[in-house]
Amino acid sequence: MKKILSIMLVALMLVGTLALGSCGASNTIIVQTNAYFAPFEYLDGGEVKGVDVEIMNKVGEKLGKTVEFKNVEFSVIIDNVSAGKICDAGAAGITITDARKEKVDFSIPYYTSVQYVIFAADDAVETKTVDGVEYIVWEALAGKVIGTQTDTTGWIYTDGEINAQESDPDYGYNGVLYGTNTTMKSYDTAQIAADAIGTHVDYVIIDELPAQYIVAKNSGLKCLPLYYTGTDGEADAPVEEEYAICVTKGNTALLTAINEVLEELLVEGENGKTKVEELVMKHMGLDG
Amino acid sequence: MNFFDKLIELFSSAKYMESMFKGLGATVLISAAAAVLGLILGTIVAFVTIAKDSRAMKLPKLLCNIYITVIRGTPMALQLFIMVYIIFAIKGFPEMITAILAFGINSGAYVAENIRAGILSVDIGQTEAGRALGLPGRTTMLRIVVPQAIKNVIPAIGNELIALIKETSIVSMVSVYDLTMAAKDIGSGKNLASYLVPMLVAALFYLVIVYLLTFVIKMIERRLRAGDKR
Repeated sequence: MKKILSIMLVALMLVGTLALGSCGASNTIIVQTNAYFAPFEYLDGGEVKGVDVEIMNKVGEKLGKTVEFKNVEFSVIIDNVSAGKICDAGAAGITITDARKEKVDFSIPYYTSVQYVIFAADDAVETKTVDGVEYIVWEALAGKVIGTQTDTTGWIYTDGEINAQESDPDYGYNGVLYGTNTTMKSYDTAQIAADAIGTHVDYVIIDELPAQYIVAKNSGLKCLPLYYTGTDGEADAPVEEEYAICVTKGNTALLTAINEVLEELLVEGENGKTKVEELVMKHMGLDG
Repeated sequence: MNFFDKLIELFSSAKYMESMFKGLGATVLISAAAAVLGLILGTIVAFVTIAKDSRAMKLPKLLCNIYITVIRGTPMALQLFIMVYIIFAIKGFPEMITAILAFGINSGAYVAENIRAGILSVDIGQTEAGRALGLPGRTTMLRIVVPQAIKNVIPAIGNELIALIKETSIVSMVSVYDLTMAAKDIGSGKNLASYLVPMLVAALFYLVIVYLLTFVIKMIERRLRAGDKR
């Protein structure tokens, strides 16, 4: 019995030392992300890569620290960064919203994205074409089932448009689908939602670049930008948003470094493109 | 068409297969380490819960009962979430260790109940006979009851280990690159851009691990039962 007990004790101690040994990583910036959002972050043989990773690595170089990326569910990132206990920053193509601003500090925006609708190629969805740009307005999705990735802006917008009873400019949505019997389904990643098109959902709303990735590799799917119908004779406008990197509130040293790196990357080069745009092209495999 | 193309692409790509095996390694490591932890913990808890009532055992018994009730009464995903984001919310603490602890603690509660049932399933007459022959209580337990109980417990423990292996598929939730995350990786937009094929292949991997484990358990059972035939 004593022998068994001592073996157990040794085993427990081993686990303990292993755990403590890998602790104390104060020289590391831990960044949470959701690596199913190419080209901003994606897994490559188990390693997180992408535009956000390159940006944060430059921040790490600037501060002389190593950067470690953690692949978690998108919906927990803001809260984890807000608590600041297990990570320092969140870089996941995160859109700046007022609700998120209350919990975390955002860097300057580094990319403007529009929301896209993914649909089956044989779907007879009503589209509009103005000045050669083909798009879909919210109203065309009325009465259908819309799939989104939990807590992404697509999810927030769709939820807002379905459930807001009247226009609420503070939150950026207008309730255009209220009372139209439109339903939303949430998924872990946009890819699962896209896989469910035709069986469980009719449309998927997600940011432009991830949408184009999914469509490029699935011949049965198409995508188009999502627009708000213009009021009072105004032109229809795309559902736009700006990405930024968030840090725990009060971590000014890290935020300043991120902003400095982003400012450098956002300077237009000789080819008329910023470094960020070049990174996007590179990670989409379009840099030749 | 599309399905078979993607299936062939997955199996013919060294990169994708490497990802699969990397994930498989993590799944096996977490399952094995958690199983060991669960067996140790479960054994201790089982012996505490079946011990004779006495003043000294009152508190340990109460704690063990609370442990079993709480762990069996809450979802594994929630326990993992609490372990990673609340209890071990320490910067740089490896999620792999937290996951092993979470699964080990979870498994321990089920193992404890299995072992308790196994010991109680041995006829009280066996204990009485041992004591009547003048053996001390501890010897009766270790030499007469436990060997018979082990035989009864093995199938139930095997069941628990199988459940444990499959349950580890939720660790991708807390950034551990396991078999399920490997499937999500391969299925994501940058790679195959469809979850169906990699998920089915991951399922095949789980099936193979479980089948191998079942084979080992059957072998142990057969050896233990060898003495039953006369």
